[in-house]
Formats: sequence, structure tokens, C-alpha cells
Amino acid sequence: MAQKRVILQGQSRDGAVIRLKDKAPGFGDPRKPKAMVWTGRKPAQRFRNGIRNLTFDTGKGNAGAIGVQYIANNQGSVRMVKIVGEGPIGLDLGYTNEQGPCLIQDVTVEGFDVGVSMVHAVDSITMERVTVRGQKKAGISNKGQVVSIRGLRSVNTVAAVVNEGGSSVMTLLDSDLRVPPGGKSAAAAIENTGTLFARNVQTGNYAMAVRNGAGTKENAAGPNVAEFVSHKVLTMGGAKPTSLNLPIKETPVIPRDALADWVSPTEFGAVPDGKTDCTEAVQKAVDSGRKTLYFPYGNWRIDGTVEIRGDIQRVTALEGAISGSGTLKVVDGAAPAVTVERINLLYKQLSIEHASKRPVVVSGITFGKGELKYTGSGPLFIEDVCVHTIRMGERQAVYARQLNCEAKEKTKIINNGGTLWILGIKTEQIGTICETTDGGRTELCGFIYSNVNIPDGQPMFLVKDSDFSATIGESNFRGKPYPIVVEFVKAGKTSRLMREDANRRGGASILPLFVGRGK
Amino acid sequence: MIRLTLLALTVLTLTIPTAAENIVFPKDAGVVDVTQAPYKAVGDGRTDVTAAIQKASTTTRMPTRLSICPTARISFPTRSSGRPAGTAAWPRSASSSRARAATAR
Repeated sequence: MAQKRVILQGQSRDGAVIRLKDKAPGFGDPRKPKAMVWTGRKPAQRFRNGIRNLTFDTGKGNAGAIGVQYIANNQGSVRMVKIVGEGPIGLDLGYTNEQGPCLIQDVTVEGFDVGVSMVHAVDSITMERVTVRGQKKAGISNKGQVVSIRGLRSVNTVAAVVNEGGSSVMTLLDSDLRVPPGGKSAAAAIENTGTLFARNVQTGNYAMAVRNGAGTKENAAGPNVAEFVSHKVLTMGGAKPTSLNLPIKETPVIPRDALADWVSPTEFGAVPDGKTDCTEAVQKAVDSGRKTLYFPYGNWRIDGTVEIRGDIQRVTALEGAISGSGTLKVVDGAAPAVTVERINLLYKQLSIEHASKRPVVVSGITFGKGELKYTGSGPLFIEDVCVHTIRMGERQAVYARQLNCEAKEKTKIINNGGTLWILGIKTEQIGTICETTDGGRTELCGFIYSNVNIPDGQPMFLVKDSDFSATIGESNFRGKPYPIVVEFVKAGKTSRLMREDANRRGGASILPLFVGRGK
Repeated sequence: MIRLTLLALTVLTLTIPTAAENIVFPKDAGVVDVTQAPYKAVGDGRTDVTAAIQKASTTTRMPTRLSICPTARISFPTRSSGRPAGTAAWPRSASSSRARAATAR
């Protein structure tokens, strides 16, 4: 299969502009819309597709032009992209089923009837820092997906967000939705008939902040919303019905180095032929004093441990693969933070370890048989990563945006006493999604694709003497969903939130907001 | 009052970064550059680059990494070609084994 692993990369968002010819033949009829860029169709095998640092402009007189029809699965992102036009949809994430999970980050959509459109029930979308402006029908339209959004900025007279229908589950954090100065809208900033959890949302010049046709049927007048849940909040351990509201740390921005500061292991005798172990040469490249370690086109093999230290602040395979059974281990060093990014490890064994006091960013990586290990004390930032498991403990902190975990037959995430925040998790396979124990704090939102028979007695979430809050949508089309949604243990006493106690998404569960405080 | 100030700050930090970008790669990076041979997209705002981008994105040299260099306006498709406008599509044709082998670099 193809339609995957293609990354369309521009030199700069504002400088690299792909523009449709004005009045282009075939793009004139909004009833027969056609996309400038199309990236594939279901099934969910569209791994790692990406679009970065580009502007797409559908030109004038193209009322039938959709900007970008994008699909990626498990790992893939649209980052630093602008889409401008006047057709039906700017960023179309709903033209084919089995969409996501993927990350939409630093994206601006100007014009169109709908800025960003989502339709189908699987496999979830994560967005951060998205701007929608000047739409005719809605800024963001969701008709079925599990969507996790942080930092939405909408400048519109129509509704900024439409979250529609029983399978739609939306988390909306830290957002600003307003009608342009001097204007006024009869719409609500957020029109909701699905499940909605909103926090720290400011609105302006709308009739109300949230019009809620679901659950409690209670609207939020606004203009500002501290915290709002469309349905009854489920609590345990005597918790108040509000989220943990953990302080969210921004992913450190690692400056891009001039090419003179890039170093390749080939300068130190590495032979990227797939047979030669390049561990030693890669280590020499790390210790060269330059700042970006990259792997040129070739067949790389690392069987030993390479310590990422000294001045290196960026490690990148430029979307390529690295073979071998070794580990890229980030230890302490001079650079204040390190990013390891853009590596395809599908079917590979390489592991990456955060063993540093520094913040480490792991971004745009699909893991294979190897692991993402976390043994350091600096925070771990995850952006758009597909991995089997996360293991963390006391004095550790993970901040994740778009995290796909698919470990089979075991617990996918274990937080033994640390701080874990996830914007957009997606999981598959049997096994508890997340265990939080020993005074840990976990706050997450996202999608559980339990499309198998989950064993009797297996909880989706296990919380033991810890604090936990979550907004979740589950799908299960051909098996048995999680029978226990939350197993909550506080001071030796166990409570269970059963499937029957949660809201329904088909035969599976929705948690509009669950809060348990057991510390 | 304090709460409002904090809210304003929160939003401020979530503005899309606007620092000037110049995403370039070393010559041996294996990036497929649509402006170079055999694709030769011309970013003059007039020349049709549909075929060039399509060809580059369907190359069997996976993973494809397309760098639109130099920074330029690109017309898509052209005014002058007169051909029916097409949709740039992700590759459909490459076989699984080829794509995977190429990914192994």
C-alpha cells in the first residue's frame, strides 16, 4: 500500500505558496467539491503523512475548491501551514473514514464555508494553536470525531465551533473565540449537541459562549468560560466536579541551526550500508561540538548506545529510518534542551531514552520494537509519537500532544507517582490504558479504540491513591468494550465506574469528564 | 482582575510563532527538491507545477521529503497549460515492498 510516509515540506510557510489558478476548470462547483491536495483514503494505513511550512491558496473563482484533504494514521502532522480560499472546506479531515490520530499544529485557515471539518467516528484528531478566520458556516465543524483542541483562536461571525451529534466528543482548552470588533453574532461561540469539555475559553460578541443541546441542556452564557461540561461530571473519592487543571508546560522550541552547525556521522567514517554498526561514528559526530546531528540518506544501523550530550540540541533522521538494536540516549549536556525528531522506526528495534536533567522533546517518531524509555529527571515532551508503552514515576513529568499507544496484552501507560498530561491519546489492543499509582497525577483526553474483546474485569483506567481526570470517547465495532471504565482505589477501598455508569458511544463509553481524587 | 490577566497571558503564549522560517537541508539529506531535476518545478507564480509535485510525491525513493526551494510563489496549475486542472494526489502506485525497502534507506 502506498499513500503513506510522504511529507510535503516547504521552506517557509509564508514564502512557499501553492496556489490554484483562478477559475481553474473543475474547481468551480461547490456541489461537486474537489481538493487541491489529496493525501489518501481509508483504511487506517496512512502512516506518517505530513505537511509542513507551506501555504495553500485556492485562488479566485474556485467556489468548489477544498484546500487540503488530509489523512494520517497513528503518527503524522500538519504543522505551520496556512490554507486560504473561498470553497466549501479549508482543511478537510472528514472526506474519508478511519482518520487519525494525527496532530494539527500551528495551522491557520482563512475563508471557506468551514475552516476545519471532521466527520467520522474514528480515529481522533489533536489540534494545538489553530486559527480559523472568516468562515461562512463554521470555524471548526465536528460531526462524529473525538477531538482534542488546545489554543483555538477563532475570528468569525458564525459559530467558532460546531460539535454535533452523539458520537462527537470534544475537549477545548485555552481558546479565544470572538466576533471581530464592532460585530455581533446571534450564534453561540460553541454550538454543541455532542459531548463537550471546555476550559479557559474566552468568547466575545456572541449570543452566548455555549449553546448546549445535549446532556444537561444547560448553556454557558459567557463571555468567558472557566470550565464547562455538557453532561454530568462523574466523580470519585469526594472530588469536586472540576478537572485537575494541571499546569500545562509548553513544548520547548529548539532553535533551527544553520547548516554549518549540522553534523553527519559520515564525516567520522560511518558507512550507512545497513550492515555496519555505526555507533562509534555517531558518537564522534555527537561530540564534534556542532548542534544538529542528522542522518543523511542511507541505510543506518546502530547496535550500541549513543549518548546525546554536549552541544547537540537536535537529532533528526529527516523522516528516514534507523536500523539496529541500539539506543539513542539523551544524557546531561551543555544544550538547555534536546529534541529527537522525524524518525521512522516502524519495524525497527532502535530505542530512544531520556536520561537527562534537561527537558527532552520527542517529536514525529513512530517506534517499532524499540521503546521510548524515560529514566531522567527533566520533563519529557511528546509531540505526534506512536509508541507501545510509557513508563514514568516520581519526580518525572510527561506533557504529550498526540500520543498513539498500541501495546498488546499489557498496560500501555504507567504513572507511578509522576505528573502526566496528554492532549489527544489514542490506543488499541487489550490492556489497561493507564495506571496511576503512588500519588501520581494524570490528566488526559482522547480516544480509546478497543476494537477487540476486552477481558472481563479489565479496567480502562486504574487509579490508586492518586488524582486523575479524563475526557474520553471509546469505539468498539466488533468486540466487547471495556467493562470497567475506571477502577478507583483510595485508602484500600475500591470503587468501580462500570460501562453502564458511563455515557454511550454506540456500545462503547464516553466520559464527558471523570474526576477522581485519591491522593 | 488577576484571573483575567492570567487568562490573557495564556492566550498570548498560544499564538502561532511567526519567526522567519528558512527550512533547508544538507545536500546529502536525501530530500527530494521539487525545483531540481527531474522535477524542475518553477516557482514564478505562472508555471504549472502540478505534474512536478505529483511526480516528486510519487517517487519510489521513500520516504519522500519535499522541499519547495527556493522560497517562491507557485502556481498550481498553470494559467497557460490549458490542461484540465488536476488534484495533486499522494502516491497510489508504489507497492508495499518497494515502499518499505526504500524506507529502510
